[in-house]
Amino acid sequence: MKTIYYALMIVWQPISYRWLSLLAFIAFLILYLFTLPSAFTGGQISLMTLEYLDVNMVLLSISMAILVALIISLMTWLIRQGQKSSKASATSGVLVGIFTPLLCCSPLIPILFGSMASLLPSFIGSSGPLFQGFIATHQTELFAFAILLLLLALYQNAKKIVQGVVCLPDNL
Amino acid sequence: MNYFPPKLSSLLIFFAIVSLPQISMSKELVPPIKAPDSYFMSQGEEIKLSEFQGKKTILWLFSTWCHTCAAGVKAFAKKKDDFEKYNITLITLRNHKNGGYPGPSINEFIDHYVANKELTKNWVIGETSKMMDKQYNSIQYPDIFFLIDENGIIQEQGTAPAVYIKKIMHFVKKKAKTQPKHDGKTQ
Repeated sequence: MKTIYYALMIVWQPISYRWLSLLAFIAFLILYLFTLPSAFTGGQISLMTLEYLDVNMVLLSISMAILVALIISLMTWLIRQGQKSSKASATSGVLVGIFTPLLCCSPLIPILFGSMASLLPSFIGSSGPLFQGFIATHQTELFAFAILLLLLALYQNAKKIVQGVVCLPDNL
Repeated sequence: MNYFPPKLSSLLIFFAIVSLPQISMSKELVPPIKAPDSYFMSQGEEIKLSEFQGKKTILWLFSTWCHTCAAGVKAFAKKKDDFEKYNITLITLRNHKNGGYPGPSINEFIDHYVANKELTKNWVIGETSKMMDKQYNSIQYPDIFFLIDENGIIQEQGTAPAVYIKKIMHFVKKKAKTQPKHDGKTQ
């Protein structure tokens, strides 16, 4: 926690990074608010999706949007300093969070697996429902996994910032 | 490391893209089309789909693990009085073997999501036969619905009925305007 706190204190010194965090938070909050309830609409995203929002989904959207916003500001800072940022866990966290509700009940997977079955052995065709059933019945665990990945990405990037600053005291 | 030569991987991608719409189209019942006769199980009895011919029917196949299906049951439950009024048969069936993934039984599922747990006499619940699954849901969608008219013609098909409830109600009321079920009341 201290590492993340120190990293944010460094990154948020210029007001532009605070604005970047705020804008990223708003953008990702909107994205998550529309995406998470799409499990109830067969993966379709429209204004109607919002009808299926509940308190848990709103809280989850806010949590993930905050984490993504913080990660984006830290990663941007690192890139502008010419340092490498940790992208893999951040990207994975965002993708798991978005695709879990989109893929659980949409027709996309059955069509995709059906087409693969024509090219590859037939068991692939029947594994579509297994895949979707697993996603649908393990959504809570998958969202928890997405949050863990985002927390990991936040920590990794924060660590790089703090370590980088220690190595280069002039940056302070 | 790239295990596929560039030409081979391009060919595979091309073949997958080209085959995708053909596969989805070839196995689906594209409306308008005569609804193939089939059978399903309801309360231990084998029921033929052709028994419902002559009445407008909403046939909905779903898996009980799917969130879209939970939303669909709730949406249909809200409209069940309209279905009775317009003499519509609503057949809601759990996919054969629940679409290949375990989940609650059809009765448990309906009991959980239908508020007063009282089904109208026009609402039939059951489980599809393997044959019906192949005929109506060969792509193995988590859910798929068919709007079948009085002549046994599938007029529309789709997934996620909660999203398309307006379209479904349009089908329900469309022809029924000319022949609504008489409720015995006089104005």
